[in-house]
Amino acid sequence: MLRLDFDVKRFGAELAFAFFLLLIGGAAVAGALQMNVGWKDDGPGAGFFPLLVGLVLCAACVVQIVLTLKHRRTLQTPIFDGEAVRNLSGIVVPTALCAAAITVAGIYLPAAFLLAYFVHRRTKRSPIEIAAIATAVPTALYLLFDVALEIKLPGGWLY
Amino acid sequence: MKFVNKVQFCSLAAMVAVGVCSASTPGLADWAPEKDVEFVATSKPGGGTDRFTRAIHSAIKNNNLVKKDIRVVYQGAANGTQGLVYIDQNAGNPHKLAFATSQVWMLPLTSKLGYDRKDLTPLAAMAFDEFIIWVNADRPYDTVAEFLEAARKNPKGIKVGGGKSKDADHVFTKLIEARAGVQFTYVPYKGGAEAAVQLAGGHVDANTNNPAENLAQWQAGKVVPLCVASPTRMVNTGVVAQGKSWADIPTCIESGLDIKSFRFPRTVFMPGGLKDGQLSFWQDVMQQVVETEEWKAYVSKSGLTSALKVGDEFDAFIEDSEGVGTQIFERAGWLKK
Amino acid sequence: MDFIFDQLGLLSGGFSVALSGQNMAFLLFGVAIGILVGVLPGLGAANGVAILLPLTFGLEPVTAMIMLTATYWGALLGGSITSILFNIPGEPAALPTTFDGHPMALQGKASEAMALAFTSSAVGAMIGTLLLTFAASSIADFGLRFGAPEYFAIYTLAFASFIGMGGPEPIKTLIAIMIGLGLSTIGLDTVSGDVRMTFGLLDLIKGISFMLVVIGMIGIGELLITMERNLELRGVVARMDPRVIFRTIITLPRYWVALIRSAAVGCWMGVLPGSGATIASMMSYGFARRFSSNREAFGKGAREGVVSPETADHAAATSAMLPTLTLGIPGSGTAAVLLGGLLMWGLQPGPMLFVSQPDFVWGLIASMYLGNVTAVVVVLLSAPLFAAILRIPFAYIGPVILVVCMIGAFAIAMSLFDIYMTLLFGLFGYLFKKLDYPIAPLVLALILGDQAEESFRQSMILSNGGVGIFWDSTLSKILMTCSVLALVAPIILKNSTRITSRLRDQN
Repeated sequence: MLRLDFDVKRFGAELAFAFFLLLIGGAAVAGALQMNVGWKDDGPGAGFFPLLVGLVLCAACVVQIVLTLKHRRTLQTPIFDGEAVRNLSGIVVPTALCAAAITVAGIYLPAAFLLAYFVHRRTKRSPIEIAAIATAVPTALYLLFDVALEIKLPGGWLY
Repeated sequence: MKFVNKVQFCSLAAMVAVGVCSASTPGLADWAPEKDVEFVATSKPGGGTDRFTRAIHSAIKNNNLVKKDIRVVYQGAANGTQGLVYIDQNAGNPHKLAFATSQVWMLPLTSKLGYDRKDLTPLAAMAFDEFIIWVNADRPYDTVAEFLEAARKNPKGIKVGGGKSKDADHVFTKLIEARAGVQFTYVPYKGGAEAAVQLAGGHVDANTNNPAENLAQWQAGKVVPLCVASPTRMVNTGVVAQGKSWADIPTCIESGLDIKSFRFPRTVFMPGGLKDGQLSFWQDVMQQVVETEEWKAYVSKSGLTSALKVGDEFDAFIEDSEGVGTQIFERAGWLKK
Repeated sequence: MDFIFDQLGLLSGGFSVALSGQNMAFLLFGVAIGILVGVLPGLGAANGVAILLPLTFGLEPVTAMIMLTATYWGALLGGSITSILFNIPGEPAALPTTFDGHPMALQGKASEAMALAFTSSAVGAMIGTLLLTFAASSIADFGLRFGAPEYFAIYTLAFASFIGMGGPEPIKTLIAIMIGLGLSTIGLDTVSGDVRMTFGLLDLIKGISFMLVVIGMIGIGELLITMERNLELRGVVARMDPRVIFRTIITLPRYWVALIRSAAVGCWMGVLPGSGATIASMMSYGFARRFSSNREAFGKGAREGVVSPETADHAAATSAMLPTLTLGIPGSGTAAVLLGGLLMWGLQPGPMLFVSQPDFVWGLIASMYLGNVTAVVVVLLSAPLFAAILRIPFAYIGPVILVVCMIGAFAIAMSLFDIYMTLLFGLFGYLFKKLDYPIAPLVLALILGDQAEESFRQSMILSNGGVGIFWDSTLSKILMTCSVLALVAPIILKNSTRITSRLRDQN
């Protein structure tokens, strides 16, 4: 089983996130350089502003990293722990699975399962009640969107 | 024994073959939609393509040309590429049609877009949107000749506004530059509507909008049409603005500008991999559509020219247009690398 | 005076059109749907109206328009409800209302916050509609004077109003703005025709819609933050006490400065094509904070912090109809959808619309007065109902909110890819909130970045690379000066108070 009695200090989280954003800045710069970054007669090329933005972003992230290092001692409060992971994964994982399932099964079926999962995990309703709720809500959504509003939401292999 | 068997066998085989062939062809020739049909408009609601799609939709519905339900969906992102990619991904499906313009084959010349136009099945070109050279009403040019003269004296000084970059307006501007030997400064805006307002406000000197796009500003007296890039004058003789009609606008050739024709076709495409009867069904439908009252009203109101091209004629048109486009793009340095 | 009487005459004609049974029924329906759409975090005014639009194909244009605009006003109001009670804007324009509206709710003043929000909205909407009634043609002409340099000046002003919005860590604000600017460059570039920063992902050709980011980072992000400690997203219990509402309405005139300033910002942003209710509300909040004598109170439940954005976004929404009708250029994102409707019904927006279709135009304008008043009344009455619905246990409401967010994200461009983007932004938003990176500047930068850059480059094309073009016309001179002032003023003010207090200490 996962050891969930750890905690992450704010210092580490800030540092890691700043590095992550620095990478994003780097990607922006890389993307910008693929285009025309010069400034000609008719103004800046398509890559000029992305490059500028990417560079400033990288610089700001570096400054943020430096500041975080400088204030290392004051950032020792725990910010993220095992309990948080457990709680968050309780939403993130089912939602991610639901989203992944949408590509093949449309939106209504995975939504029904998502609803069923949440109700099951958090309340004490019987399987029949859960099934009823899990069919009622998506059906209502179907009636609202597909029938009344005529927007075809992704249906996967259902239709 | 063997000889008789061989002859018998061959004739039996021949009869079977003929039987199979004649049994299968009637099924395909009578194909009609089996499921609900989807009309994919490759634009946002209200855009020119949307109105085109809806005009055909009502023509079909009001005249009962197709028995199944037809739904209009919008897939207009990225200049309509979204809709074309969607159609591309639905190869073999005869229940989806995409309504677009020449963007289908023009845009891929300059950008990588995720579909190959040869994978799609061209159904028809149904109407043509004209291109008119408009100028701001306060400018001193009354004719194309004066306009071009001013441009010649002032290279890059005359500003022409248009919708997007490397799209139809831009291409037309480049064409004028090439044929008249002038240099403009082209200013790309988000679309024809914005270009219309910018011209009305005098921020640019000219634009190359379609008739419908500038009509309101013409009626308000803010912009003036100089010539239309069409082989003959437009047909509508009803007065639309400032006491003039569409037919009053001279053609470019008449005005001394050597552009015989530059038009924006409104097209319909289908996914690739269709069976014969499926395409011909829809071709028939479109041929009936252009005879309907609904279509005629749409065409007249929008200042379009109705002209149906299907099959080989349409294919040839595409090839030709693609060729001209490639030439212009090559010269301008826009071809996709 | 004649002019005013003329317009009033036309307006009363409009009322006779608007007050028909059918139109009023659709108005009410539109308001109800709008409030629902506004309350749901995944759907905003723009995609709500876009979803309803195809359905109106068979209706009379004026009826359809009345219904859709009623949806617009309802959605803005509904969005404020969730902003105040749940710290999640149900509609992007309601984002700044979370800054002070939610703290007020946490202090037990939810009724007051909502009453303030709704009544300021009504004031803003009225002012915007009055503008439309009396000033449509002159404002339309004014709108024509805006070319690329003028637009750039406006965007600079909007950015300037937002500097200092980020909170105590300016570097994080800078990072947020840069990320927003970067995200805005993704997609098809108008000026060069190139596709930018898509890294080969075809779905990114259409760019990243700010609604996606709002739904993801702010909506789903907030959900995750609350869930981290396994708290239920129950929001604040709010009973709408009529006495509190009445008292609040009486005190509204006290904020006349904020009301007028915000209405001005709102009308301006509405009239200008390309910027709408969302920018208006953020700019108005920024200005309110800047010019207030009590800056520290902002973010903790300052009433002006609720009045300002709400007045502005409704003023913007109503006055956005002005350029839409008179120029055919949408004054806001939702107005763009409405414009599509106009064209779909065969109407030709432009200077001639008022002349050729007076019944439609004046019927619509009359319905705007009726619609906004109706919407405010309906929302005041139904707010407790929505608050109650949202008190359903998280076990049921949580997944429904998630699913609606996914549907809302999908509905923006009918794209499955957007659903994944929104969820990713949800995680991103969680990290932002957790580590105190401000989201509002990111959203503003995302909305404005591409437009500002486009205007800048268009200006460069027009001027052949000369930066002086921004000081050419009177209009852009004024705007650029205002932007510079807006940027510099607080620094001067801060320093001058420091100087005066030091002088006082010395004495």
